[in-house]
Amino acid sequence: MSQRGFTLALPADPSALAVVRRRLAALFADLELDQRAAGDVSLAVVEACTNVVRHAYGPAGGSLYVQAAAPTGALVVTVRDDGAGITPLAERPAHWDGLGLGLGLSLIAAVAQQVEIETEPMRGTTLRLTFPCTASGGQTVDDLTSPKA
Amino acid sequence: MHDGGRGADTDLLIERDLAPGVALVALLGEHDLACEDRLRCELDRLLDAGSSVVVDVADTSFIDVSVLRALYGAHRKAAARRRSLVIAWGTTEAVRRLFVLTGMLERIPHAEGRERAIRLAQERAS
Repeated sequence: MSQRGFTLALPADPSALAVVRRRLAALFADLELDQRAAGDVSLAVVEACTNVVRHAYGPAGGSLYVQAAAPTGALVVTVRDDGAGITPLAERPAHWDGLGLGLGLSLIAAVAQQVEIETEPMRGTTLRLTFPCTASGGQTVDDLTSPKA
Repeated sequence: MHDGGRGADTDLLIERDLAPGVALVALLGEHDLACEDRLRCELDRLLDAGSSVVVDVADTSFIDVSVLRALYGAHRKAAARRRSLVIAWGTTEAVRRLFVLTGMLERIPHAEGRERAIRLAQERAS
């Protein structure tokens, strides 16, 4: 059985973004994803992670969790934090508009096939992104340590 | 001047006198939130010195919205000072894709290749 995916738990700081991209790149190669599709997934996932780094926690920081799995015909990436939760649109400060959080979420919605958001004030946010994937024989994977057949 | 970035995968190449009145910032490799403040500072410094800026993304493998935000801010600052910021495309599609998806292709001036970008920067600043 082919098992493809990874799970990461990282400090929610900017250095995490390069780590996430590297793990995604390895997965894209494994899935033989075409360049355009891989680029779109990277953009969306990095935006989701950037939102966590920028907005989820206060100065004390926290953790960023990224899980990728490739069930047949899809690539599912879950980005999670234990932070403040996403502020409803009407309550956001004006500077969050334009090129802020709003654009990031719009970008994610533009490239992902499906976006699911679960957020609760002070208990964190989970963003589950589903992308089309033409990998053959991909099976659901949810553990970085799973052996590869 | 070749300034060090934050690691082997990312770098900024800066030339203050690429052409009369035009400086160069070449984004090499991957650039994201970790680079945003430094890029913004470098762009501010060049614009404060009175230059227009060509941002060459020919050798850029990845940028995110954080970087786009810095570029758009610099574009607006340049326009307010009757200078310009122009993106110089290379052959890769990865960076251009983000501009298309976010609508920035219509907002920030751009040209194919560094030479055309220099000419456009000089025309827009004149």
